[in-house]
Amino acid sequence: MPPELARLLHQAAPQPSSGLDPDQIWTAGRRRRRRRRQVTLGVAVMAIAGIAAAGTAWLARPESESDRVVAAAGDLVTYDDSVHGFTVQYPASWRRATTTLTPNLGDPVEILSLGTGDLPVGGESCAHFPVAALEAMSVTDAFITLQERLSAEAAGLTPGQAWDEAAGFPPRPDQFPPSGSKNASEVVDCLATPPVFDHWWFAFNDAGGGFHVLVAIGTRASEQTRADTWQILESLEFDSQRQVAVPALEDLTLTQAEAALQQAGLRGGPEGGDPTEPDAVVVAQKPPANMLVPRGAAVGLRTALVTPELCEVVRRLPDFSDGAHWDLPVDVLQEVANLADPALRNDTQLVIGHIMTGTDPPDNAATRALDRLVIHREACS
Amino acid sequence: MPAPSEFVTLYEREHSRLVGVLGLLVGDRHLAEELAQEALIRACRDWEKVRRLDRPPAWLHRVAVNLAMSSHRRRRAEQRMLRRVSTRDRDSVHDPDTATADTVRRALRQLPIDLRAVVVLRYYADLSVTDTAGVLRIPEGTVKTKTRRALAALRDSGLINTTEVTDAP
Repeated sequence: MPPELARLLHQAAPQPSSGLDPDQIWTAGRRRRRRRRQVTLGVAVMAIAGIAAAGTAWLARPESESDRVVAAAGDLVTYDDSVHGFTVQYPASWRRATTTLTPNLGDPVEILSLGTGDLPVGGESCAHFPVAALEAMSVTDAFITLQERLSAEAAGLTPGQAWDEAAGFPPRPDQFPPSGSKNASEVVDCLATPPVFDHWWFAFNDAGGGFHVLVAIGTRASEQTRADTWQILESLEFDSQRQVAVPALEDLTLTQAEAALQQAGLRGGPEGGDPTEPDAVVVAQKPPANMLVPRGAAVGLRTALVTPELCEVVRRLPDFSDGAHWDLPVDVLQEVANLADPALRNDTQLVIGHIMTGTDPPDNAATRALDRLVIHREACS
Repeated sequence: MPAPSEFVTLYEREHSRLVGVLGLLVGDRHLAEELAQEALIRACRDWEKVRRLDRPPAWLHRVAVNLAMSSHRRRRAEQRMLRRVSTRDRDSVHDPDTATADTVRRALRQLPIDLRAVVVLRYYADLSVTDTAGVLRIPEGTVKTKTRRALAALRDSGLINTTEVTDAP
């Protein structure tokens, strides 16, 4: 650790101007707790009344969401997820989470979680693991969560790189679990309590997608539960025609963007009136990144050519990516407009007008124009 | 109502550091003190849960950083407006301090809030990579990446000279 930085920070950090009375803080906190409990109680009473009114119809409601299909045959439930494009079978005694257990995880995204016990959402730490569900496990429980990678960039790969062994996603194993995956993650460090399970963490590719799997099996789980756990994973079937997530293409060159689209099973669609040279930078895409679309769908790209002359001027703009665009020098912006292609020229003039009129916050068009300028600035840096 | 001794201990150990972390994050001592107080009140509100945690200070820091992040988003719009009507630097007017401290704060303000949080937690609050990841709810690898980027930016700004960047926890 750079000691000089620590020293400087300690020098700059403010000290409390006066001590607070911990008893007063405590009283304020307890008062707020009482107020929250009263509100919670009120909501609970209303919820119970609502449930009573719904009566048996509520109790008979199937557990499936409207766009997903669950069918039971004997002791097995078949779950068909048309959005993420897979089917899985699991014992009727298992529970499937009907909402994500990792609400703060953006990419990868959790597409399936199953367990023999309770499945609480979230957790106190480690957004990438369903910590609360793992902490809720007993020694006889088992738990599975399946996550799918959306964009190669977010996984630290080169745009367009396939979900293959080189990218850390070997082919789906012939048999689960793959060797070397036992207790191979830092998940136990995320738990507030000592783990009561062994865990397996591994990745694989299937049907063009990259997947992470976390399996946890209680230390005293029955042989049947253990066998069921692996059988559930064996039953996973991915649809090669399933919907895929649109990769993030802005800021890539046209060549890189087309490679990324190809890798995702998509294709470039009609482009705007901007240059289409291979080195042109993508400044806008439609649909946006991470939207799920059918495999093979077209993604519209809008590009802008970043020339050395333009970059020379664009580099003179201060960093305004944090929204500090009021500091942008209008004379430099005017130079950018003079050198830019038509799309960037229009946007730059929009930004100049926005700064001159001083309207705050910027409207949608000005916000998009500012974003495009940020992209150009980063492309030139 | 007297506070339990466990809470008083937590308060005495963390209040000053909390104000320091928040002050470096939001760049305003008064706001930092308000946010620190709010974080402590929330700890009291949820005391049954907080006292059972392995590391209550980590929870306290997470709440405080979240409050600072929310406050940062709200204040950006206000600051843009203030910048138009006044060319004075608010912080230097309201919080006079040494030239070095002003330089540090100015350099920190140039960092995006997420990088600023990593730097402050690691080098001011002296949290490990693991604890920083826990407070910010991001993977440890991301903490290391953000640390490298932040230090590079601080080097570019001339605030620090060191070339040594370690991933050690």
